[in-house]
Amino acid sequence: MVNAKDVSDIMKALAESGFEDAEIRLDELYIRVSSQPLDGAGRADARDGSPAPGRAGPDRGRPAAPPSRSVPDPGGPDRLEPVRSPTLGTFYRSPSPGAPPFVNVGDRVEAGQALGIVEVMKLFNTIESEVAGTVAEIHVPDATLVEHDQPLMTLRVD
Amino acid sequence: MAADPIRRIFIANRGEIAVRVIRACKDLGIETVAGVSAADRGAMAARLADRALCLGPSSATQSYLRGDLLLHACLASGCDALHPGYGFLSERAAFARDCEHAGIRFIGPAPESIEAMGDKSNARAIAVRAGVPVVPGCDLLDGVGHAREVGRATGFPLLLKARAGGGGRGMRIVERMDDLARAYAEASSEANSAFGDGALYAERYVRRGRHIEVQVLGDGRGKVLHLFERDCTTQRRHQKLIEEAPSPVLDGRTRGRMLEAALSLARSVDYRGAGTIEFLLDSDTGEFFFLEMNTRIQVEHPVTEMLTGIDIVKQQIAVAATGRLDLEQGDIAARGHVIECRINAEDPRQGFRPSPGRIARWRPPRGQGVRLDSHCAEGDVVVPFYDSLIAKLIVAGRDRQDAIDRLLDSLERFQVDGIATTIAFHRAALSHPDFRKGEITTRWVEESGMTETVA
Repeated sequence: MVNAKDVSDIMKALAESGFEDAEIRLDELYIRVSSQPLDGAGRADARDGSPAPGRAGPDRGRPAAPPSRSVPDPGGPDRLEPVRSPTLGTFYRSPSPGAPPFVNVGDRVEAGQALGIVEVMKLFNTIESEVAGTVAEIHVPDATLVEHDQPLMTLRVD
Repeated sequence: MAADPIRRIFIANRGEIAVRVIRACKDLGIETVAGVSAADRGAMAARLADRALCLGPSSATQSYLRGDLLLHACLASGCDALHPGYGFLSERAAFARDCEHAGIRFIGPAPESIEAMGDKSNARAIAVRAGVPVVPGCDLLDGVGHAREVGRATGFPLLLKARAGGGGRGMRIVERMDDLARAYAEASSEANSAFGDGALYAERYVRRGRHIEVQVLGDGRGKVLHLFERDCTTQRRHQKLIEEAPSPVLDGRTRGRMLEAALSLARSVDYRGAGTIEFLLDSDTGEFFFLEMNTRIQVEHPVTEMLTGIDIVKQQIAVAATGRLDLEQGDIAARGHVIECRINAEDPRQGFRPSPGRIARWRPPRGQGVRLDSHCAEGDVVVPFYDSLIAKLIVAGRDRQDAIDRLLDSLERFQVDGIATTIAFHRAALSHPDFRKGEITTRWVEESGMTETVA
């Protein structure tokens, strides 16, 4: 299991490496760190993992601003499409504990394919893809509280 | 009995009351998580809370009225208590029960109290058992003969109203026994064609009524205290506009009996937390009658806070946390006179039509004895999805005259641009000789025609 110190070590290593971005993939774990400001969808708030409002930064009171829908070159070969949570709830990446995730970064998905689950008081809502494409990024870790309209992942549309 | 301290409170409301509760929590060193709708993401409650979580779209039915979302957010954000504010889910017994089942302390009375008081005829029966006077009348009429009997027993004028009623349909004021048969037939047939139900109630008609309510606090184990009364007679279409304390018309003896009646009712249900018992005062006879009990914090609670110096929201939280009330009746004293104006984003010149929009200018008055409870700031947008209350201006004075003068001065200095407000209405109302003399009824705003005189 990766902890906060591991992430900070990774960021330190990145800073010393001279590279601007690093993507790390270990089985189901996906980490992307960057010295550059991320694009809108990439800034999705992942602070929900630990419910400790007292310790977050000065911005902690504000809900994640909905990222802009505009993406570079819409309609081009690299059209990015955010997948947003339809409701406040807990996001799960797999159909049951221990089961493999519905999707991983790099996976191809078809329209209608299940991407994850958002649970509200034991009611499970399956999040289905509205487009065919590839999973470009997953913004929210498994079993995390998400807000209404929060981007869960970004798809690269075919 | 709950004895664990409360460390983090979920705010299941919006607007000024959400801000009010968050401020009380900050004073107490309690963290807050605000559940907000999409329209309120940038609202003051979201800015002030330690954390804000977007529940759902702007519509209240998809956000503030969704008990499942509120409870999920409350649990997942590590809160140990929930404050429901007023309106929305604050008086839904099932929601209070769901909170308790989930291990979340609901900052309010026991679900059973909400249930008991939420049903009108049940609440009336509890009042009768507690020896509290109710409006003379009957539950349901079974014919015109029965109506005559009730008329003889309760006296005239008599009010006939439809069981299924609403909006004045199937309602008749009957002045004399001679008019009863015809009024009964008309009201019943009107109710039948409007609601498909011709059944009628009858009760004493109070021609010159005042709305007076008593604030109570209880510990849920039999200890109940009163924080005196509030007079909320200035209403428009049953919506309170101005509230004050003490009531300008109650004599000492009637006040004493009313406070005692409120305590006896609250005691009979082992009431926990803050509650309000509403009475109708008949100005012609000096009698008062139980109307209903509100099992939540009231919009107008600051009037009592300024009158007594007691923070009612903090008392609510303390009772929820400790199961105790660290107050005695003898510690509670009323000082001076306090008046509150509810300032709405409505245009009094256009029939009080809601006036949402961006607040271009917001310069509230300040000063000794002036309190403003509001969630608005310059540049904020008053959204059209919820009620139009934007601020409560509360002013204390040495006596009633002093409070009226100071409130008028504060209203004069209150500058709001970009949206229409009811500030001018309040200035007209407070300046009106009827109001100054305390000679008004709950229908005064409509009947005096003063809404047309607002300049």
